Amino acid sequence: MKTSIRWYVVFTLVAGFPLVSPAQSEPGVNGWIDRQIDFILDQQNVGKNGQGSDKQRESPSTDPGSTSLVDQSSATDFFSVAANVIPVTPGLSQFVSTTGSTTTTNGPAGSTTATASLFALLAALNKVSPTDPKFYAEHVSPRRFSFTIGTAASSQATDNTDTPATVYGAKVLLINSRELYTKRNLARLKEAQDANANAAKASAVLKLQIKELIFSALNPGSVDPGGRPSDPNSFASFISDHLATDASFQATLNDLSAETRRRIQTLIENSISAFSQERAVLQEKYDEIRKAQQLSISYTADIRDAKGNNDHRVELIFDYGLSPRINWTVNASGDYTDHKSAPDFKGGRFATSFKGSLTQPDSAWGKCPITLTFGGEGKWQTNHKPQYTFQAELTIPLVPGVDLPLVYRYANRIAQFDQTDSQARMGLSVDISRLAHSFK
Amino acid sequence: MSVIRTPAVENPGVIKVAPAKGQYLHFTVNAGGAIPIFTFASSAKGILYEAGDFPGHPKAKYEWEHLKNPSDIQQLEELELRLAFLTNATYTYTVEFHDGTGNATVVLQIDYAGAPTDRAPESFTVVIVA
Repeated sequence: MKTSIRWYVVFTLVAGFPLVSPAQSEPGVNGWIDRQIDFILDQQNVGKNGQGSDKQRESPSTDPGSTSLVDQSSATDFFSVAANVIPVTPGLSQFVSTTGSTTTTNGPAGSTTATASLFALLAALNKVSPTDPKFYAEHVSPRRFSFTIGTAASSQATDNTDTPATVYGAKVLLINSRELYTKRNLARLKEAQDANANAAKASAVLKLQIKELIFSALNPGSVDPGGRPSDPNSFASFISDHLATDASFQATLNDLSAETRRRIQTLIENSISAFSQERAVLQEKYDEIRKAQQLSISYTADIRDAKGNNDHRVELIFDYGLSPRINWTVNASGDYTDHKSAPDFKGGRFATSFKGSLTQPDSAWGKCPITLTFGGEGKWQTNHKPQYTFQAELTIPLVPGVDLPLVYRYANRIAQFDQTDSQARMGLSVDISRLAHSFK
Repeated sequence: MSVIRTPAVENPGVIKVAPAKGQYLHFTVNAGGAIPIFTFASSAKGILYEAGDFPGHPKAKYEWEHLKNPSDIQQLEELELRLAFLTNATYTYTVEFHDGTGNATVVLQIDYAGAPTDRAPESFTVVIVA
């Protein structure tokens, strides 16, 4: 480890070029120092982590056209819209299956829902940005509540009408260990702040030491016996002319002796612990908050016209981060279908999913990670055989705030029909606040 | 690091200030997120401010001055603002030079956007002149 760090520092000192785009760091010598530190920390194999997968941006699972088989415990903090742009008709089996047991039953048309948190509504009413830190801090409880409204597809076969249903939904987070303003998470953030402070102090000292070292090496007659610049004005001019920009610093770097490079290398290595600690603490605290458990209860209703069936679902939803990149969700619900021309259906449902992030986010307000989700659902209703469904979903971020979920779903039977079914679905989810932020 | 750093006024690397003539620096950090985490540190005096030191934290705007108070004055000082993005996604850092006659000039203004485990250092050297 030590050898590879030394090799890199010596190599970049000799070659004199940065290995990371300077556009994303400070210019000149400061940015170069930051990159040496980052490289050493990378070598220490302190991994970075992805952005979370617990926020549901898709339609609720009660929507027959939804791309979501399993509901997440928390909705968006702000406002999001989900559209299922490719209807669930016809079944994918029409195209790929050769077995006689599959079906091509026509499903309902596409649907659209919009979800907003009570927090977002309050921010709008108060004409305050939902990202305002003070407003965010003062409205912890409203982030526990979210509401959904929209339309859901209907089919004559299962819903007794072709007229789309109106979707009403509400969700309350009962346990939210990922909320920042809990005592435990505030203590974690204090640790992050302390690590940030120690790194800032070490960085300020290190950068001035290296600037003075380079100045004294190239201007030995302009330093005092302690090696510090004897004329502050000369030092200021030296920084402006030789250290402040990437181009000027490259030339300066090439003029340094091997001994000066060795001393720079030693300075960086000797101060690395504060930066290592900062990176480790940020990663650790992020993981601890991301993996914390959440439990919510939700109610969703698909209300149809006078002759259509109405669907109601009360659901407990549990989320837990198995690892920094994998989120595990469990749903347990009671379902009730109010039939207008037949006995009502009552039943229960259990579903679970594992959602993994395949990529890292490019920034907090940038595109979300590509995610792959595997989920399964079992439904048991009166007067029906059990229905089991499996789903695989790949969600691709198109631009910040806009995601494209692609879904393959297989069911052993469809609602009232004793036939298997497989379908491909495609949706579109839009996180309005994230999208708006990208246009700023 | 995946911080997106967008300078409106690039870091000059060094700033000359004459406190004896009433000159000083004014700092502003604008935050866009739940809980800003940052530190303003000096090579000479260590940690000067943390986000939590400011009344009303967390908030959208943090402001402070440096070199207006004679006790701040330290020749050849490196000043670093170090931002963490764990619970705050975007920052704007602005440094104004006040010339002692009521005029202010923006000498550094940079936007940052980062992912939760990112951090962004920004520093320059202050040289005290007569």
